[in-house]
Amino acid sequence: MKKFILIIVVCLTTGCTIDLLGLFGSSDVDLRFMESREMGEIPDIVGLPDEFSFIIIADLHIRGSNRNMTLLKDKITDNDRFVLLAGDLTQCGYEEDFITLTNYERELGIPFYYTLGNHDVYFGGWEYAKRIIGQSSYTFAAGNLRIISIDSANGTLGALQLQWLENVLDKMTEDYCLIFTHFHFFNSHLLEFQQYTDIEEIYYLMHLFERSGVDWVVMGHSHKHDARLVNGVLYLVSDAFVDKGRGGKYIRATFGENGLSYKVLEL
Amino acid sequence: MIKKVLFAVLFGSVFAVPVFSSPVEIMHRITFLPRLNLNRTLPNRFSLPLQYTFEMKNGFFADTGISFETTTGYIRGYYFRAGWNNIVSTPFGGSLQFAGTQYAEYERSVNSIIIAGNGNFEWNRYFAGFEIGVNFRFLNIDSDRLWNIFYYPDISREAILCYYGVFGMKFFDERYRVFIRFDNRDDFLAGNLGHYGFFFGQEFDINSRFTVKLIPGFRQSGSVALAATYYQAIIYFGGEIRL
Repeated sequence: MKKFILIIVVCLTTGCTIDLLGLFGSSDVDLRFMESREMGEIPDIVGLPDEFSFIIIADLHIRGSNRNMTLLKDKITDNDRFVLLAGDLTQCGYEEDFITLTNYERELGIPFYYTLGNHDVYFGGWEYAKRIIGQSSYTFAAGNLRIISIDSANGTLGALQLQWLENVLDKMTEDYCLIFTHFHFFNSHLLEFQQYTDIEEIYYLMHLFERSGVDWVVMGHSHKHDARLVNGVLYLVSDAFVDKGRGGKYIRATFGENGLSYKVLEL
Repeated sequence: MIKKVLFAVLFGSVFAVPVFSSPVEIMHRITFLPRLNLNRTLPNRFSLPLQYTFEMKNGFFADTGISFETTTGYIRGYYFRAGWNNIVSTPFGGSLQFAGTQYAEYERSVNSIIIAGNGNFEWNRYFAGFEIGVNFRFLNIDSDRLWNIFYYPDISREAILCYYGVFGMKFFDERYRVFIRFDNRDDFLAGNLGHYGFFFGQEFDINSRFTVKLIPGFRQSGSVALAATYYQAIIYFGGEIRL
């Protein structure tokens, strides 16, 4: 009975996979935000055609390797210009797993843009992440599309990052805007322990996105595709790309004169 | 369908007072328990809630409340609840609640129907209790109809587990009580499953009619599983009058 209770508690408290030992090694979102600012800016992507596509994946949970990333290589087309990865890149925030991820980036031959998930900051993972993949929050332009990564690995943005986000949105000159982050806004099932934590913060952000003309908010964490259009903002949750030996799903987004569109595709 | 369910909960809970063949003892309580929320991401909040409770000796109760938030100048929350404690002389009971929460500054409101079961136990000078239920949450994003609880133009439906557990002790002929409480909800609002809080409360009966309460605590608002890095500090301080 005691064992059963322990298993239930562990499952409830660790979200998508069991990592009890990593629970107490996480970092503070304010710290990550300040260190990200010291790393400088991400350059804009220039020389893009009028219409281009990009790949969205989330929840890779790399532990040693991820065969889905190898399969994804065969799906990349000439029109795919970059990949957005919406957090939980690694299972435990280990250095070698972040390095594996950058190896996949080289193999695919197009740039990766990362945002952190809760698993990436387990076991002090931020110390490796900042050195290997860089900032946890940043922004860049891809043609007429403004892309913003916000760090929700702790289920909250923190006051500093929130202020920065407001400034970025306020100064945005592009006609379209996509935000990508890890934690999703809406509960997908009854026992979902971790998500964006404070509902007032969720509603604050939704209101901010609507006022600022954000088009898409791309998220992960729930491991289940979801799409909700709320007051003109599409909240798009990507399926998990974790390697379970049975393939995975990814999103191909297309950006052109008419804005953004997407398709959910299988490997 | 949603209209019918909301209507049934709202009015059913208020008028579901059972008929009794013999006189029963009735107690009325008014509670004023202001709440200070010291946030870390959003600005701090100070709320002034007022609650009324109607309670029968046999365990039936109904309560309602309204909460005004001074920092935004808006009515933040209101609720109607009815339930029955100690059903057929067992420690267990249940309740049905409608809770409306306004976020007028963000042009949305969120309404919940909460169905919960509870248990209350007392032995020697100790007491303990729990509640576990489901919060069916509906999001209204039409700024012109925030008070319309039947209108969801672009509805977001969620179902979230809500819970609390309490354990405490009584001193000085039960006039002074201390307790610890773990929950993801208060009377006005049920949060997400991981929006849990720990509180250390004290209540003191000044006399048979008046009780003062002080309930400080923390509620996590950003974590990696249990490694919460962000906490809201929350203080409830006020009193209760038995009429």
